[in-house]
Amino acid sequence: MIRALASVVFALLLLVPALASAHKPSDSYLMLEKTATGLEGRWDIALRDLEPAIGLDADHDGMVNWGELKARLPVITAYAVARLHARSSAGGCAMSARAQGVVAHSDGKYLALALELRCPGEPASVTLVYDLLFDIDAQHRGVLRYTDDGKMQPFVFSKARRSIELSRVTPRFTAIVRLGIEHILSGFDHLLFLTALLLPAVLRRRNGVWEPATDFRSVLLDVLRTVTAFTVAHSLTLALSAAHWVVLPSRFVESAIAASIVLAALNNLFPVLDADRSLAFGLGLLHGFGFAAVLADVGLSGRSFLRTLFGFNLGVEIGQLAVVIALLPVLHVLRRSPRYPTWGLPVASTAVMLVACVWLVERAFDLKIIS
Amino acid sequence: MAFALGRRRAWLLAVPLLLLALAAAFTLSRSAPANAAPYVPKTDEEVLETLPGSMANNWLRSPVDATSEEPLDATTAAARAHVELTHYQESADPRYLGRAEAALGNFWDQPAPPEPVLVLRARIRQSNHEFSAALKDLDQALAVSPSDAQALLDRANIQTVLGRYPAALKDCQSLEGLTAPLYVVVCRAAVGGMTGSARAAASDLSRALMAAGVTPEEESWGESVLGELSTRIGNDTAAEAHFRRVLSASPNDGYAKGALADLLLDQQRNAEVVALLADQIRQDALLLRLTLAERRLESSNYEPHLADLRQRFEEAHLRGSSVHRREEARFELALRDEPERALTLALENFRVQRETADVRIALEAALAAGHPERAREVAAFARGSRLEDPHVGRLLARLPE
Repeated sequence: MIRALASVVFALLLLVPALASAHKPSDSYLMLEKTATGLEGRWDIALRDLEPAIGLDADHDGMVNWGELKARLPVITAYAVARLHARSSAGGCAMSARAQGVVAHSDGKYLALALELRCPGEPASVTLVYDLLFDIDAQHRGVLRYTDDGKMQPFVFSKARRSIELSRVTPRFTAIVRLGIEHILSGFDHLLFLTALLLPAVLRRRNGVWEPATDFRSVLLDVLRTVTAFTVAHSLTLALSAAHWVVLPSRFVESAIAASIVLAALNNLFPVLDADRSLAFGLGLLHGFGFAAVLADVGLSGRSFLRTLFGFNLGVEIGQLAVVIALLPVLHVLRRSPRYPTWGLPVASTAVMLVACVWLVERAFDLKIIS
Repeated sequence: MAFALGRRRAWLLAVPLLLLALAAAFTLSRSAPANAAPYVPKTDEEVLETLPGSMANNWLRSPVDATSEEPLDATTAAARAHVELTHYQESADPRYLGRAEAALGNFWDQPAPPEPVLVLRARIRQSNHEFSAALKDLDQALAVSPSDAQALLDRANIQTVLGRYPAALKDCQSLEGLTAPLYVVVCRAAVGGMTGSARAAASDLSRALMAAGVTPEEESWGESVLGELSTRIGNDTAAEAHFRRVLSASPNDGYAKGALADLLLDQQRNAEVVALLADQIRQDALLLRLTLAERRLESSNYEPHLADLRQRFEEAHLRGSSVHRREEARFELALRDEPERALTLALENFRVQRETADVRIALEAALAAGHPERAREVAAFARGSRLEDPHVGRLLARLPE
């Protein structure tokens, strides 16, 4: 290539010092993390960039030492803070910056500022406006790494893009479904409740005694009805609770879920309610509130509300179905065992009840019994 | 809900938490550049930064708020931008490009700024590899003043980089009578070197350099073009002599250093490359060549320099920059042994610029990746323009017509 003519016409013999740092365009690095009240993190600004903006080299020896930098820290902090603004839907965020020390990037040393931003209202979405150095270096970039709930998103501020809206990270649909599956499979209380309901599915109550069901098809139908009733009930309360229409204290919900298992097991021992469906539905309502607590951690808002709710519920049902499918062969075997009605069911139900009783006491009185 | 967690369930939670912590540690260790821990220097005397001399007498010495300042006149703006661009050309420090752009102030965004601003804006855009925007500015400038030699030469240069040789030659022709004859010869020689007449171009240029009145700077310039033409016709001895002559006149000439290093690398004279570039690690392109030599020599500097290069490319990606695709392709191919990635980068680069080095890296990567068919367009271009380079020639011989 023909080399630029200007280098010939305007050449100046200027010695370039051989230093260990790279030639690199001007960047500042912002690492911010979402907190309950706003944002916090670090902002690294190159000393090479602060020199023309503020003047660091007090003795004009062509070098910036720590003493010179220290003397200018208040000015630098004020300069930087005046060029970064944040606001949430409820208004401007208050920002504080504190020099943390220096840090090396590939092109030399940077000043590291610890940042804390407090935003009014519920800072679901924060808009950052960045205006550092564009007046001095039009190719300057603000490289932002924004972390929300463990997920990092990169953004770049430039002369043409000085404002960036940081919305909540919307998890992918499959991730929400998986969360639902994980929750039901790791939540022993929901599974124990389901088990308590399904234990008598292979039996029929006739004249006050348990008898084996006549055929497996009717057992299947029975299971289907019970599971459907449970599903409809907990989906209903999950939606109500997620939408904040009905909000119950979590300690009460957790205790009530334990109680629901005790009741379901008791009903196997001393049947009061004939139809499992009403039990599954009535007590299933409680479990929906329990699921909602998990969803609240994911964050439900605006347009993604229905999507998240549906995805999570779908996950719960998939997990539940897997458990039921695993239980079916067991039930099939049990149906043929003559001792099941007299021994199996009472023993299993008592065991379930005991575990649930311990949970109930733990949860209601905030104790730890099962270690 | 936390109070309801029995220890058993807490234990179950511990597993995903542990995995999360591991994942976080992994992510942190991978993105080390921006996450290195800050420290507080122990003494006030600790030197943190050495400033380039050109910053000392800067027009930005005091904090200036561009918005509150009086609107600049075009002459002042162009003069300031010109100073920054000169610093850029001497140091290859891209910060000066950003400062040159800022110096043009509001003129930067105007659709039709005054002619001197247009030429400077084109020069900045060209340096950022925004070739079509630069061409538009030069077209506009030459429409206003068709005899602007600088604009003509810059446009010829860009056309040559883009492989549009007839258009470049036309601009060289228009230069005639507007500048010293040497410039016309260099302009034509650069095109000739890409289109099958490198030998004739070299002898024309040698003769022009012997004419009276050639300044030392012009001579250096001509010598480096001669060095390139000599490489093209396979006369490595002559090429080396030309590049060394440039370096004896201006020892910090990054362009000549890079060209000479490539020549030495091709001859496996790796120790000489290290001697040439050992203190040249500010410029990515030179550090790349140094690291290549160090790898072959199994030097102890190889690993740290490789890590340094990697960090620089990562930082460039973070800011969304793609100016160094050619260097990055070479980095992936020759230092990281990732021919697939190198090929992708080299082909992207070829869409932007078509110099000999761009052709060569694309062909090398395609052959290394086992996808010669993906370089079909590149090969067709090199054959169509009758590019003479012996290295390119050898690569082309391995590719189907």
